[in-house]
Amino acid sequence: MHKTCLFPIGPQHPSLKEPLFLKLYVDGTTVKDAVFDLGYAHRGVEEKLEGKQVDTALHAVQRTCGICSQCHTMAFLRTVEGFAEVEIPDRVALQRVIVAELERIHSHLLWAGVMMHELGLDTLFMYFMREREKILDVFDELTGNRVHHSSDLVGTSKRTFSEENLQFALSTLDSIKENLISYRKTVDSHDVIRDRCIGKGLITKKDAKTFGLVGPVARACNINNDVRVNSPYMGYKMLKLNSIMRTEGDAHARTLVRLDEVFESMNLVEQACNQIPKGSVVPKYPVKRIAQGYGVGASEAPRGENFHFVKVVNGKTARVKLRTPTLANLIMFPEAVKGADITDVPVIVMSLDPCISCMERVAVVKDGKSEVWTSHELFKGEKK
Amino acid sequence: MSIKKSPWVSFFNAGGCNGCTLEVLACTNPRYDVSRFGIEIKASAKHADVLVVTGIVNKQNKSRLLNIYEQLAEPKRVVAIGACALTGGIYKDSHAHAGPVDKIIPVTVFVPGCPPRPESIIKGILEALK
Repeated sequence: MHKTCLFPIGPQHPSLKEPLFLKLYVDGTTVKDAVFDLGYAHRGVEEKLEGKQVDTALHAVQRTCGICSQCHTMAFLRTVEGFAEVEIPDRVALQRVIVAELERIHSHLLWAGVMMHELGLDTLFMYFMREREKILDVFDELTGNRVHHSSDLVGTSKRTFSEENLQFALSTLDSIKENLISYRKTVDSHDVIRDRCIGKGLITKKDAKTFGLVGPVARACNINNDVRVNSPYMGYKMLKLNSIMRTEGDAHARTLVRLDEVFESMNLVEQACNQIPKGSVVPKYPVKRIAQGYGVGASEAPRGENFHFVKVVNGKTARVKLRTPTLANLIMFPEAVKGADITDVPVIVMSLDPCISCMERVAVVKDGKSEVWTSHELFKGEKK
Repeated sequence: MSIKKSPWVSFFNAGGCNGCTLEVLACTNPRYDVSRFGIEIKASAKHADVLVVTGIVNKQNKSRLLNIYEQLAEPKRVVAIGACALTGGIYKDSHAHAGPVDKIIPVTVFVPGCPPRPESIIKGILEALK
């Protein structure tokens, strides 16, 4: 009879960029069970979004996540513009897509860098980070911000991208393309990467379907649930898009899906820059007052489907529900690391690309004592 | 004993949105290259001269932050980065907010911004040595 022992990782750990407490129960070096202890990045995002005017709420929505700020904007605006029946000009729609796709590129490059760091390949980490920095320059040029882009308002954009801005974006993408092709080749053929990724963290297509996984994790299992393809929104209606799919479902497949998506996003940015209507400017003023209504909307974040529910009563948001892609994928994390060798855990967890900060929703912490809330109390929002 | 060069830095995200985390990470990339100043990111606070904290400090993180601060080598220097760490930012009135950082641990240098640029983060870390 073997005894398992607890192997704690986090919440402050060099390989975790975010506070996450990972409890691994190991027997020897085999992981028998895993528990993800969350709540370290909880900020009360949804509470913060209640009782605000739509423009003000948009400002807070953008600050939900530092990696995918634009996709939260897109989902929120899609919902609000959907139920308020606001038409947006083609130029605004394409401008939003350009920022969103550049964001996907930067997110995937960041992820690829950190993944290589987990595999011990720090040179590749630096290479990926170097290319990512150039994408941030483009953000700086287009929107004026490096991280939280804040480039959009309801029905309009804050600025018109000039011809020089778009040329700068295209030439930057051109300049990094060649390097990225060679890095992708390395990732595909490098012995260390292949040995440590192939067959690790395997998720079958059946499991992916049962657990309802989203994004590149699902696409690596040959399930196409890309929101941009299934229900195109804003500028995606005008663009031609191929979904990147693979069948293996392991860590290596997920790596390659993300890297191939970078090239697909570059393609989309090029298409959007070429199609953007010449000379037309964006409307000067946003749609000021949205009084009533509720609706749902989804956008494709770098990590998968990002779902928003927005309800506006008397000009103020009454409820905003965000379901971020990591929340959908998190259920698979303990399953994916069970049975794995402990040395493979960082690679497996990283290959699922967790973004904890935008996912944290409920955390009841009272001096370390556990507490049980009934559904009735939760609904009322107070405990007897 | 004070040091003039080459501070080793430990990093703690106390419940931020990742924006500041990314900019701290960007400091290590080839463009900003903090190795020029001998700055190295260290895993454990026990090996570090400077503790970099980002994010609102939420209630669950508070004891962790204190724990990490205690482990930090003397003289303890703390750099708080971003609007959330300074004042709570847009999450000031949030139910989860237990900070800001200087309410919990003494802070040497504040770096404002949402998020601050890598240049100002590097400047803040070097400023903490003075």
